[in-house]
Amino acid sequence: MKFYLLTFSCFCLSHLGWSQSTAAENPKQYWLDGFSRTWFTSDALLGNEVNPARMSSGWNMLDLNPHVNPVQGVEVFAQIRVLNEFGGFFGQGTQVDVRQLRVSGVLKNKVKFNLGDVYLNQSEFTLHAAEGEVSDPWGHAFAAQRKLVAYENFFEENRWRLQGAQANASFKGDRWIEHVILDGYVTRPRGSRQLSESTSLPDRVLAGVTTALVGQKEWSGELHHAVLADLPYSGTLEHNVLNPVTHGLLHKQQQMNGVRMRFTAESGWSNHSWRIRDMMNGEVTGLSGSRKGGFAGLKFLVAAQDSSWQGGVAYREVDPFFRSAGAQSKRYDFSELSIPSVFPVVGEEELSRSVSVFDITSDVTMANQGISATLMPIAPLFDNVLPYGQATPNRRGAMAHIRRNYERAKVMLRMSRFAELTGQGTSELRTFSAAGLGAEWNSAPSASREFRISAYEKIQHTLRGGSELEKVELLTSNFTISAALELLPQFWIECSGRHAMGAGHEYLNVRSELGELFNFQRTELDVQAWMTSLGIMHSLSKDVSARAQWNVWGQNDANRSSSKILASQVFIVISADL
Amino acid sequence: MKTTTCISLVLLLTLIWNSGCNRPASEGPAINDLFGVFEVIDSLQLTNVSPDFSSGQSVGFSCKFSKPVEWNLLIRGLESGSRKTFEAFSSELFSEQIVWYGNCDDVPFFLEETCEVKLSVEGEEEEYVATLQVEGVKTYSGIEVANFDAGLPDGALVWYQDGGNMTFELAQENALQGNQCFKMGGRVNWDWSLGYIDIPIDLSDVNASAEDFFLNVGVFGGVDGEFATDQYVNILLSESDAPFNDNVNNNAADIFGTGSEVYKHQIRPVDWEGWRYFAIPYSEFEVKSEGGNNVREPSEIRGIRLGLQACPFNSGNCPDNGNIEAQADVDYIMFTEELPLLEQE
Repeated sequence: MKFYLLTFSCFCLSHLGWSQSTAAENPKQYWLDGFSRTWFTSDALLGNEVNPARMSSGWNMLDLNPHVNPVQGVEVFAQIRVLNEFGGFFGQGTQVDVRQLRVSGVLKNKVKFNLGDVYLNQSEFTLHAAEGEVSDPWGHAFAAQRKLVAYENFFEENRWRLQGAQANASFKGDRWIEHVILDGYVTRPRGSRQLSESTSLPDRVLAGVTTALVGQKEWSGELHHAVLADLPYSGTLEHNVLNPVTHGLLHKQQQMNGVRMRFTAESGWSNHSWRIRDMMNGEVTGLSGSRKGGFAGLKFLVAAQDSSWQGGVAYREVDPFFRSAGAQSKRYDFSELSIPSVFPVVGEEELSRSVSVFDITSDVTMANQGISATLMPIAPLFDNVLPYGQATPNRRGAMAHIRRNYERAKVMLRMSRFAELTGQGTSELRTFSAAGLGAEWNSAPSASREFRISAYEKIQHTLRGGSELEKVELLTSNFTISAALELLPQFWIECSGRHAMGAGHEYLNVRSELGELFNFQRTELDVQAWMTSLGIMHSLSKDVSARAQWNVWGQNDANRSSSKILASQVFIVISADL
Repeated sequence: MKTTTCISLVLLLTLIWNSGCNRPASEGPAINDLFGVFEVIDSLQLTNVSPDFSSGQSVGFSCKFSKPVEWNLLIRGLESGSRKTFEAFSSELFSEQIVWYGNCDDVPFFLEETCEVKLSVEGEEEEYVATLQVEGVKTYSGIEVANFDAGLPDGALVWYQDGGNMTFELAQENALQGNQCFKMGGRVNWDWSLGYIDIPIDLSDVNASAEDFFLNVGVFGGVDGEFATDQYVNILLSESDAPFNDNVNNNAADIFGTGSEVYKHQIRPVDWEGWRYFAIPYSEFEVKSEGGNNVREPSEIRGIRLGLQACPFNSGNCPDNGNIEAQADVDYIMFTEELPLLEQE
């Protein structure tokens, strides 16, 4: 198979070579770009004389992107990956894959379309990928590792990478409506898959449509609808998910005294159920476990005309049984099946360790690319307040934020307070309080040598009353810092750090395969996890950069002394945009 | 603007109010129950302490706890060592649901013997014990291929290589069921295949689909924890219409040759002591050689081959096999419909 792919890619490359030679005649017909990365890590356990361990890994990777315009207004894009793992020998460890394939274009100057691998983000309650636990508001800390994880997992902003078709068109209106935008997509997050000769998973389809209206007098509105559904007859499962979600928003913008304001009212609903297929006769007999949930909220954003400051307040209520697979699926997998790839077991007893700061920052395999039909497990150490983003169910509360931009500095403050709407395992309700404060300081634009330093601290507090068993109290802190200094032209010394601390206890939800909450796992958190990085970065040109870092990371769980770990990592990466 | 804003807010509040009306007070099991003090409210009870499984009797078990727990119920034959387990997460065992029909999780089979019943709860030290007396053992139903008690099945053919200490024969010791089993063992340094037994079958009356048709077979792995490297049982089922043994110059039956419609399954590796019992759906057999319509049809099965294979010493991949005989005895070969033999009620 690999041989055929290699042959195919060689054919493509030779053809592209030819096409580039003819580019002078028709410069827009064929072109080639891509990305190349050489990555190497060497990990070592520190202070473990009983079980000294060292492991190295890495690869050379070349992603070639041929772009072809078969006709005007249509582009065919493919991404062909050639990857060679370090230690590969005579072709072993070398992979050639078609990583992405897409046809995109414009029909009759009206309808834009994409077919194949598409990146989609609809709304925060229908289809949206929240950045989640690795979030750094300034975006600088461990940038190399985060870019690596994002690139390998197709993370692009808040969009999910899906396979299917998407199209949109905009129309000009008259009278009260100035513009109408229509957008629709049909994707297949999971294809039918044979489990054995007699059993197979059904196709899972995610489809949606969006209508946006821009009216006069600064009014506008959005209506989003998405449906996740298994196609029962394409597989042999008894339970097939059906999850329609609707989200409507109404905006009003205003300008007053040099201040821009935007009011938003939003609401929506969802239904999550399982279509039951009778395995004896193959017929779909009805719905099971149907749960309906709604949400509603008000938002007020305000910003200075010169963008020197901005702020906002919001109030929102999300029903306990609001379910939206596209918006609540997490970027990172914290289930027990997700095992860190670096030193997964520690200590003399070789116990599996919990996911640490290092893993969510730099472990490519911890990330999740799929849309989950049920709520995924969470990690309270990193986020216990809104673990499923804005669409987190069972929350009622308010948020506020303010950001001030100075000439060389930025300051940010975020605060929120939520409460549950329905107790979990008790009628007592949790309350969640969160605060985040951060600042970034940059060198003056005229400075001969640039520097930058940024920091952000996020504190979350969870509290629940009741009996001794029902009580919950959890305090977590996540502190992120990053700094860079240009020692020589295009030669930077950079460092990053993140420290996560948790104290208290919480109950984690244990859900069945159908998403039903049937048990709780009491988790005692007396844990500290950290990661630091010190390294150099050299930009060889606008498109080529090289980084070498020395990272030290660890975690210390007072309740599981055997899972204590201290490790170091040498991290080298050379990247080139082609 | 003011009118529209008011309408929006009213709609919003209506929605909040509506959704709030359907909210339960709490979701999930009560934490006070789950993590509270564990108590046995109703002790372990058996509906029948002297069951005669041969006449279709059964035993139901009941018990009630103060909270949902992970429980495990183990029935162990004091003479045979046979075991049957039930486990679940619940606060109560209902005698209508937790029912034992005399079957076992794996071989050996239960005998007419005293059995110990032990109920344990995760996280609790105390165990709840009862006893029962099996007055009659369960009779399993199915299509018998071979139990070897009266010798080899009619028409069976045995072939084996000219190796060392070859034992492809009936044996009285260590039989799984009855008084004889079929031994397969020996040492062949130059080839994977040591030998096999071919048995003709007529299943023309069977109506089950491949998914609901199971081959059940007991396999004896060895003793003293010493096993030849990568030894396994190779099972072939043939749907060929060719005569079973027309060519007497062949090593054994003709229906497994290249070009015949043959399906294959391997029990690999065989690396356990004593007997284990396997149930393999016919649908999980893979195509060995294409010849017919390549659709697994139980009623078309004409013969079965059970062979012993092991990594040959001369290959250089298994140096230890120069000093050890491969062994995988078989017994109590049955076809069952709908359920594996050990899951029959």
